Amino acid sequence: MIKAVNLTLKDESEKPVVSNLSFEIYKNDRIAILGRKSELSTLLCHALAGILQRTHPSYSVSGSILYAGQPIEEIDSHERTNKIAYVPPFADLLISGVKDTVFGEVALSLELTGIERDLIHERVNRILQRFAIEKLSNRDPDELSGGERHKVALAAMIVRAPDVLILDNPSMFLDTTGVNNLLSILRAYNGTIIIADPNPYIWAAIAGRFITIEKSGIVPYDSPAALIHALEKDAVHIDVPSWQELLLMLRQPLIIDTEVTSFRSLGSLRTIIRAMQ
Amino acid sequence: MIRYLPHPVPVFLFLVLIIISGFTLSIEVRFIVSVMLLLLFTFHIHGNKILRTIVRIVIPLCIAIGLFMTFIYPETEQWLTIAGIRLSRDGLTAAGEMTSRILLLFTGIIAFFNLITIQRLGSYLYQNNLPVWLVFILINGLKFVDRFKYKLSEIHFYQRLRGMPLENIWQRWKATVKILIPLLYFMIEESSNRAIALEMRGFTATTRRTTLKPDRQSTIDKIITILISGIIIFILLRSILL
Amino acid sequence: MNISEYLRRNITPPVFSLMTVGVAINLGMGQVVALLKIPLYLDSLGTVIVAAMCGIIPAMITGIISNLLASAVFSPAMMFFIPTMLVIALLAGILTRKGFFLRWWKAVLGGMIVGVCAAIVSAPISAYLFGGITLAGTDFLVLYFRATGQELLQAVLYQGLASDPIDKGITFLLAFLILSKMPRNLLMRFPGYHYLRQRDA
Repeated sequence: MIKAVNLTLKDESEKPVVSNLSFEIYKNDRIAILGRKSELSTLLCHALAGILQRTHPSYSVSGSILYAGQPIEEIDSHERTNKIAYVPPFADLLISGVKDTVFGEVALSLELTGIERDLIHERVNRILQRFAIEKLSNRDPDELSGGERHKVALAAMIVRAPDVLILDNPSMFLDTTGVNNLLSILRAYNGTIIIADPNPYIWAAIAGRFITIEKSGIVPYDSPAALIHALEKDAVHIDVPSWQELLLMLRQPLIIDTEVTSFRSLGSLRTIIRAMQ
Repeated sequence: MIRYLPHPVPVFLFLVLIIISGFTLSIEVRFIVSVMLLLLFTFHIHGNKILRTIVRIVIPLCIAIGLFMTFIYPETEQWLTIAGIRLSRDGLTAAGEMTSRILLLFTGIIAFFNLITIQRLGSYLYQNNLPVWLVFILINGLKFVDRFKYKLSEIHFYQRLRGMPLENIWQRWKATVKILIPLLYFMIEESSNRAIALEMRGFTATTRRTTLKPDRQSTIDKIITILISGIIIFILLRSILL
Repeated sequence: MNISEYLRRNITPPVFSLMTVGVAINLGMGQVVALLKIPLYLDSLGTVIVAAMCGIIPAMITGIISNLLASAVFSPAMMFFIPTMLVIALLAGILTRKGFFLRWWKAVLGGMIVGVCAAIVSAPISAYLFGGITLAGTDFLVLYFRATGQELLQAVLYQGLASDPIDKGITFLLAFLILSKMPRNLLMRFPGYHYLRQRDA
């Protein structure tokens, strides 16, 4: 679906930030970008969203990122944002303020893209229900609390039903409840998710594949098991939890080839560790 | 108490009417019309706000202009002496001309902005397929001013904590630069990030937009629209023919 | 190219987002001036910044909307000074293209030129509508020039010529300072980049 071919990015002083990166993202993939620095993961998010040349115009880019076989920066902005949604860390900025109700705000992107009126009502109502904010639908977005605004912003992005959702540091201003809400929404989301967040609680709960940005370069890991194996061998030099901790967080059945499919206690963890050894 | 809140179209026509009549009617008629408008607004639900703004802004301005024109008008050779005070006759006429015009124009403009909010105006423009960025600027302009003020007080507070002398003009200039540069930098950088967010919200869409519900005028709105347009045409015709 | 096509191409999200901030700066500068007690207006700083970073048309729209909103929140008088704002936007845009934002003294000089033109444009409006009275600190200048026997229009013009070039000069200097402090990566996102940095590399 999205394919990076020999992507190299150089910053203003011609220092390579990303060199020779090639990987592919498939439909319905859940990918976490784990970075040494959050600027690097933001950079990669922008590249994948096709806005890198506008947000970092002083960087030089070689190689390309293809979406459905087409260079992503060449796709018309309107068409591209219909397919790929980039959620910036300050979700507050996503609320345009043009409409004076939450319903209108969420419906705005659909109105602008010319979707029929009945269909807008249906889709907006459905998304408000899924975010459990239908009670807010007649409130003014400016009067909401931070957490509520974050939800409205996310709803406004997801209502366009993009194929790819790129979340850049979504947990920055979220409390524990906010994180849990975000997780339940993302788990139910039907599409590709790319998430760059330093909070292991978030990415471990969602991602099935990983991209780590290390000093030596960018390393893709195709499964949680691959990441855990690398961690075990001390081959990962970024700030992530130890492999034991990570194993606890990755409550996914696909981790390793054992009969154990889920585990919640230290006891079952020990079983798995033993099985891995 | 009048609770009627008009549609933007008649209010806009009302503003046009006021501006045209401010430059065409005679002094006495302008005063009479302004007083009639003020009386009308006393019964309106937003009348208090309108009257208060007029008292705060228009009355001091009119008094200042009136005094200025009647007492200092050097071109004149005719002076009137009323109760021992020397007044200029030309100045008196000019003062009447200006104060009547300002009273009428300002009453109209203040009423315009109180009868329809910026939000309402923006949503009307949005409904009528004007570029969405125009609506965005119009509606968010004032909201961002609040943000600007908030950030200003924040930066000012921290600069004061660090000890910022404000005695002489040079120190004030340095303080201005030290406060303004971070403030403006913050606002511009945020605007650039917001641009990405807005692009993602579909602000670059070129398709014809749909709207949630149609924006229609009520019967009263239509009657008032026709009435005001009639008066405008009448005044224009009169000033052209006479 | 017709107007709507031109606007669609040129008013991109970074541009209109900056225009909104320009409006906020124009309206908010009154607050800054009051807070720091400096005897200036600086109320066209936003327009000048937009003119430098985005060009003439965006700056003009910024100016019109600023004055419309100012007439809603401050004084209706602002509505009649839209022509002044348009002249400032036009000249600021032209001067940017002539490279006036590359050196600080050039910026101040450009600001003074703009100030003279702004005074010439606003004098007839101010004299005809308000008799030169704006209830601001500069009114005493009009009174003074009137008392020395000048005609109303002349007195208002002299008052403008005495105060506007200083105000606009400092506005341009502030705009220059903020533009020169801005990192290249941020500045390059806007169309006016080429006129704001010398092409050295």
